[in-house]
Amino acid sequence: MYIKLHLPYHFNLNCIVMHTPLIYICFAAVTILLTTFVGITIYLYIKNRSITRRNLQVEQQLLLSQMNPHFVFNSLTAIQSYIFRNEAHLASKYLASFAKLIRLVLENSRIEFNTVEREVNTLRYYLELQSLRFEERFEYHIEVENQAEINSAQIPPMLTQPFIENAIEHGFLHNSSKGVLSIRFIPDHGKTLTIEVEDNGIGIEKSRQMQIQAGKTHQSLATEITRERIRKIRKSKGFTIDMSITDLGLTDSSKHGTLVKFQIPLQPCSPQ
Amino acid sequence: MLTAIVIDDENKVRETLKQMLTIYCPNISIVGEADGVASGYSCICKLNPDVVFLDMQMNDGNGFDLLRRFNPITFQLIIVTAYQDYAVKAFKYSAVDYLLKPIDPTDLITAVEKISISYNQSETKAKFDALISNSTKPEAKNKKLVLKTVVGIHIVETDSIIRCESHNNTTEFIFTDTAPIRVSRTLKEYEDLLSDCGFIRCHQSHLINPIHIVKVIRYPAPTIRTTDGFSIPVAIRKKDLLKVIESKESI
Repeated sequence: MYIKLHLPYHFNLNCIVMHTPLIYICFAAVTILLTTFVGITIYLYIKNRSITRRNLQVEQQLLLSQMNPHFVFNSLTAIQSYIFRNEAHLASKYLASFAKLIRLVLENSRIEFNTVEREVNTLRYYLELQSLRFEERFEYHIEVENQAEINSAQIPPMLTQPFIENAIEHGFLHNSSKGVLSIRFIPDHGKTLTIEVEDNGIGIEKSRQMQIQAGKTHQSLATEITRERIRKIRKSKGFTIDMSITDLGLTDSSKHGTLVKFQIPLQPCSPQ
Repeated sequence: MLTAIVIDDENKVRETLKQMLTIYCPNISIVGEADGVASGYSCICKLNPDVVFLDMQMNDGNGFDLLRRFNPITFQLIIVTAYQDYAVKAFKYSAVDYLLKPIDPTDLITAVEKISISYNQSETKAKFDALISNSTKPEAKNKKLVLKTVVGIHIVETDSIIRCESHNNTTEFIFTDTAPIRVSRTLKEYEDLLSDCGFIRCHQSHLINPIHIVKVIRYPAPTIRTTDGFSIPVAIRKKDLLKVIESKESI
C-alpha cells in the first residue's frame, strides 16, 4: 500500500522536474518569498509588541510621577488639617482643587496633547496644592504671553511637572530665603512655543552632589522620563521638542537655581 | 497621663495631630514638637517624653536616622507616614505600629490605647533593634522578623525559618535551631511579608523558605523535602513552581 501510494507521487514529481524546470524554479522562488514574508511578519510583530510594552511602561511611569503617592497623601493630609482647624471653607476649596487636578490628570492619561490653556490649568491646580503643603517654602508665577498665538501648540500633558516637583521638593529645601518658581509660556515669532521653568533653588548640580553625598544613587527620573517622552513623540508624530537644563549658578556665580527650557514647534512639521 | 512630642517637618501636620490628640486622646499631653531629625533628637533628650509621634520622611533625614541615635530606646513610638513602601515593610517585619496619613481618628485611638495599656520596655527595645537592623539594609534577604505570641515576643532571622504551616487562623513557624513558634496571624499575612525574602507558598497551608529545600520530588506526587526532613505537598495548580525551584537550585 505504501509503495503504491508513494510511487506515483514520486514519479509525478520527477516528471515535472525533468520536463519543466521553469516550474521547479518558480516553486523554489515562491517558497523563498513565502518564508521571507512570514519571517518579516513575525519580526515586525515581535518588534511591535516590545514597542507597545515599552510605551505602556513610559505611560505608567508618567502617571505615577504626576500622581506621586507622596503628593497625593500629603495633599490629603494638608486638607485634613483645615478640617481640624474648623476652616470648612478652605478645606472644601482645596478638596475641590484636588478633585479637579485628579480629573485632569486622569483625562491627560488618555490624550496625547494639551492646549496651552488646559496645560496651564492643570499646573495651576497642581501648584495650588503644592503651595498648600509648603506655603512658607515658595511662591509661584505662571506667565502666558499672547495666548491666542500659542494655543495651537501641542504640549504633551504635564511636560514640565516632573521638573516643577523637583524644584519644590528638592531645590528649595536648602534656601534661606523664600523660593520663587516661575513658569513662562512664550511664543517665538509664531514658529515655536518656549516653556521655561525657572527656580532660585540650589541648582541641579549641587542637588545632584548632595544626593551622591547622602549615599543615594538617585537617577534623575524627571529627565529620564521626559527624554523618553520626547523621543516617542519624534518617532510617532515627526516633530522634535528641544529640552535644555541649565544650572544658573554655573554661568553666573551671583545667581543660583535651575532653568529648564522646552521648545515646541507651533505647526508640527513633517519628518523631513 | 502620658507626655508626648510630635516630630514632623510640616507645620500643618503637627498642628493637626496635636488637635486630634486633644480631641480623641485626653490622656496624652503634648509637651513639645520638632521639625526634623536634629531638632527632634535634642527635643527628645531635653523633654524625655513617654511617647514620640514620628514622621518618617523629613528634610534633614528620615525617621530611621533619628531612631539610630537612641540606644536603648527610652520612649514609646508611634510612626506616622504618608507612603513609603520599604519603610512600611520594615515596620511590618518588626511588628512596630504605624499610622498612615491622613490619620484615621479610630486608628489613632487604637494606637494610643495600645501603648497606654502595656508598656513593656524589653519588648519595645527588642522591636526597635529589629527595626533598626532591617532599615539599615533594606535590600538584604535575611531580615529580622518579630513574632508575637501569648508568652511574649520572639525575634528571629528569616534565614533560620525552614517553613511556616497554617493551622486554622494561626501560623506555626519551624526553625533550624529553635523550637516551633505559633502566632495567631494568618499565613497569608506572612506570605505577603516574606515573599521579599523569596519564600514560596507551595500549598494552601505551607509557606517554605527556598534556602532550606533539600529535594524536589516530581513523582508520584509533587513534593518538596526540607532540611527538617518534612515532605511538603505541592498543590497541583502550583506545579510550575517546581520548575522555578529546580532552575534556581541548578544555579
